[in-house]
Amino acid sequence: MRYQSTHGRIVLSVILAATWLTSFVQAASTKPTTQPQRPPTLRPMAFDYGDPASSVNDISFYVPPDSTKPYPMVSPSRETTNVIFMIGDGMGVAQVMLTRLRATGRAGRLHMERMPCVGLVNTCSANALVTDSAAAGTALACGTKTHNGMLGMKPNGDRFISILEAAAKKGRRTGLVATSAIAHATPAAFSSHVEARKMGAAIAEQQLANRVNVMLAGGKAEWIPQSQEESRREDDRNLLAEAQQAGYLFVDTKEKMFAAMGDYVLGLFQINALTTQEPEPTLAEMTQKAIQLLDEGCHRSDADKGFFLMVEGSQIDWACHANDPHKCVRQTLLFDQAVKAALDFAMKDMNTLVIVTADHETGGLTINGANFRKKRINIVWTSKGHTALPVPLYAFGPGSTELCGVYDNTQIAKRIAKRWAINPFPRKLK
Amino acid sequence: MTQSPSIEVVVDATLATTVAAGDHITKGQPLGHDPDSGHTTTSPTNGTIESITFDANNHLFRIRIQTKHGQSHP
Repeated sequence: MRYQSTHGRIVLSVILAATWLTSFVQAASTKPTTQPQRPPTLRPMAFDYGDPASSVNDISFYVPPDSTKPYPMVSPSRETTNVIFMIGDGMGVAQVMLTRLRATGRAGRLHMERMPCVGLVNTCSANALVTDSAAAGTALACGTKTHNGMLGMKPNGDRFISILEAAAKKGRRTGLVATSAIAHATPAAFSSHVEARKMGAAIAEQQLANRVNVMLAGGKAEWIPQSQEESRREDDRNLLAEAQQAGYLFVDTKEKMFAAMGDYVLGLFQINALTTQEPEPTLAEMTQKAIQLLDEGCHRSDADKGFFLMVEGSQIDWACHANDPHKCVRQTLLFDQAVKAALDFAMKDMNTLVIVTADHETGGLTINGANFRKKRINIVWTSKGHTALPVPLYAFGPGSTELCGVYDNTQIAKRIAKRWAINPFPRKLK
Repeated sequence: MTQSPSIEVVVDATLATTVAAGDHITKGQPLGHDPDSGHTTTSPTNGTIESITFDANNHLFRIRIQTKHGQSHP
């Protein structure tokens, strides 16, 4: 009996211990972990674009090239009268290829891909392998590296002249077109000098003082006094009124933009960034209008010295931050339509250098395969931020051969400056 | 049952966030890095990442954290 009783106690103890251990393990496994989680990288995704009922799949606005043949080479001995510098924010090689696969199929080409000269551009900033748009914009505009966040100046605060400002000093007309606010990082890099990209109000003041001939974008918020709704200013300056007093024609609708004439035109079509939807003008329409205004201005002037125009497809970056392939394709196609508008002009003119590149890649996008019958492309995003990947450059026109090869993003403005005998460049702003 | 309060933390969008929606996080855990200032933004509280949205106009990620009941934060 004693043996049986002892044995029973042992069995009971084992059962109790097992029960306790089981409940402990279960509790531990359901307890939320407080350890740092892995970064949200590597997002494989099936990019399905076959459903015609879904508005995200509508790319009917895009007119693909009627040929895959490259545009002709233009003799480098021809004069480079005009430069149209086009920047797809966040547009890496994979973004271009994804857009091509979606819009034209494997054998097709985007308009930008028909440009005859191709380069590969390194993008790192002065303080980081992964740049932001402010430092990259400064490198593209001023030919000098700076810290992320800074615009138009070296890390020590020395302000450097941009290629747009240097062109204006040489008597050329200048223009800025973007789908972001006009005071956003990339257009700001060509037209202002501030310590931080957040200083939108100061950027807008400098853009006005710089007397850029044509500015078409979003971003009224930095131009209206603080008393007005949605203003991003902290003072009572009304830069829209000041611009009109300074001789600018201000337009805020597509119809007014199409009708605009004159040497100074400011078109701001939204309070912040553009929606890139009707009834706004498209990036291609703004590009076409800016070219027309700048070109006509040159012909009106006694000294026809040409123009410099910067065009940014700002929202490719934003689509890639969101890891959204539909928006990425749409924004890249809107940008490519603007490239076509620039190439149409350059093909007639033959003295215009068109450069298409990016400030950095966003999203770490790659393409793993596709099933075209099912209208599906297998993609992977490796990041929700920018990456250090080099970006493509496409060029057409006199001087384009000088942009072939692998080089740093500071080289582009330097090579334009050399072409235009702007010397020295880069240089400090007086 | 009452909903836990939530707070918003913003980080520069140049680099990706170091957390994803649904992650459980602790006070002091890095959320993102600003290469501009060299500053690492950390969580002011224990909680769960409710959502991360991209603010295009300011080029920021807005991270919404559902705090745990009873957790204090600034």
